[in-house]
Amino acid sequence: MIRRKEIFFRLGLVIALSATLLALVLPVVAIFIQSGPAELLASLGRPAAQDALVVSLRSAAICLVVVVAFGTPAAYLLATRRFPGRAAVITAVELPIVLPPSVAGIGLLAAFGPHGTLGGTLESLGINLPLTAAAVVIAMVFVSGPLYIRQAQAAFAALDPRLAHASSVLGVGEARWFGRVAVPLAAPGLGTGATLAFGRALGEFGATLMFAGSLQGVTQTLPIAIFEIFGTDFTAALAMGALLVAVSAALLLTVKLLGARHGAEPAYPHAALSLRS
Amino acid sequence: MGLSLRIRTPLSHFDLDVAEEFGDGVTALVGPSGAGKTSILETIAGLRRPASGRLVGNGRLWLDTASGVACAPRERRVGYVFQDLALFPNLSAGQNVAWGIGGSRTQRREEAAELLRQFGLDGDMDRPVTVLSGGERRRVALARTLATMPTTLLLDEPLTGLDARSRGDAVAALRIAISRVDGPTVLVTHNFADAADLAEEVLVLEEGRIAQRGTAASIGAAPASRFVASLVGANALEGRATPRGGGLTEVYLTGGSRVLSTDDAVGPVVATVFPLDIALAPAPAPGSALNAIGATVRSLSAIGPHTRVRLSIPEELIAEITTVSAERLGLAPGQTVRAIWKATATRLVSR
Repeated sequence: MIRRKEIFFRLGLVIALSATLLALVLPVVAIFIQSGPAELLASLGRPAAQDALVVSLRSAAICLVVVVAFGTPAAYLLATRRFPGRAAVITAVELPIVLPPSVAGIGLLAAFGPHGTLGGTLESLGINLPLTAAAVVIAMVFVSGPLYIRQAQAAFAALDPRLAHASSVLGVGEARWFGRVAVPLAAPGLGTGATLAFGRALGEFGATLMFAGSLQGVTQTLPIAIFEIFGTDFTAALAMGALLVAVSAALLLTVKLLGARHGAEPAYPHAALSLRS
Repeated sequence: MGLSLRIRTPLSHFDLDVAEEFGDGVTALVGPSGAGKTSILETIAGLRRPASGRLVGNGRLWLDTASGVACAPRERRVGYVFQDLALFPNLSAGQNVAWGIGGSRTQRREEAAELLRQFGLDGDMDRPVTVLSGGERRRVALARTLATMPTTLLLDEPLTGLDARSRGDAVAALRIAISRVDGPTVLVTHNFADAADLAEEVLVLEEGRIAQRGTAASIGAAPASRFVASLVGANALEGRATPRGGGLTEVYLTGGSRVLSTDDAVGPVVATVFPLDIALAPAPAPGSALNAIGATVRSLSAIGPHTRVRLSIPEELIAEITTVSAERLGLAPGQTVRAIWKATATRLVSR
């Protein structure tokens, strides 16, 4: 009886993995099956595709700089301090991970739009954010920031507290400790978080479309360009899709290699995507 | 100048409640893991704040919860060698040692090099600490601690997990460090032998309280409780004492056996006897020893020339005899023997 149960169980495992592969891998593979290399190259020659790629990479790069510059110290603070309302702050920071893109887009408009919470202030300063290149970056920061902060916070929290104790007993201030030891030791986790955030920023679509629109060469990112073109030119959409898949796959591989080099399974995806860890 | 310490604070399973003076020599805090030893060190270093307490270090008030005084760790000039050393793994040996040194880059480098040299690590300045051996890392940690010229030295389990050979080197390095600190040294260990090796005075800590204080020799000779007896490696047997005359006291053990001691005691006592003082003989017993108790061999473990024999009388009794005599007796589990020791080797402590 036990024997037969075992066989069914193992069969179940294999069926589950096959179904998973069908659901997750087939759509990605299909992009490459349906678009040949010749079409891929031809479509990359289109100005719309080139513009979109530039907008995507440039915006995601600026987004990453912003996220790392502010997210690293913020994550360190959350990882090393206990203060009233800390759990609420962490939840608020993580919330964008689970928000639907439409909610994110509406939220950004409500905050920074002409009639939004900060709209008046920004207008008096002569700043109009919606439908600008800056809006693309803001949308990307909103969706990718939480992924980085989660990873960075986990990386700082994993540092042996005795190292910080040793430093403080030796009379050295926290700023030097942060820069010379904490950040270098957390670097693998920070790198993983940065890669995930960059990938998420590249893939950002819904909130950008609502908040920044789709102006070619200004706010039209690669995902938006694909959406614009697929009704009229499915082949070109496929080719641009293939490009995005290739870039994202290269990023994921980087994460895996970063993780492997430090002898651990990469914290992605369970640590990044589960809400509590 | 010493340390004067009074702390009371809840730990997870009991309250830490200690009020002691520490002189300028080496004082050891001995107790099992979880007794509160490290909590005391962390309080002295300023890394942990007790619920209530007062701490005067080298003549300065470091902590007084009543008046809200709490010096930061850096103001106390305490050198703390952590149990796991807590070296910064991304830095070289030299950078680790230089961490707490002030001044220009060259100055810091020179001082670090000099300290490493004093600990026999001349060529290791630029080696990452992760490639150093365990012994080398220990010495880097000591050099790093001395770099700030501390006036109090705290050592957390500095000899734990060492084999016999590295232990000698580690003790030598610790002696260098201790001699360089002009003030009290507090050593924390779960091993009484470590305390006996390094400390002038020993405080035995049991569940947050000091169970006994004295020199290692005096505690070893007369453990004040069953707990201290087991800590110093003695057998502890519970029973009731009655004076028998002729300078002898008779103790009837809970399991029914009778033990004689030259100590005076009446009523419930713990009788302690060291494993090395117990001899084994085939039943029945010869000899002049006053204690000769029937015992059953439970297990044997030979460690080189010595063999530890676990006996049941029926209380557990450990005897340590030479492997030669264990073989001559043909000891085997289940065998009945006589455990023999002198009445003068039996210490009695009232319960």
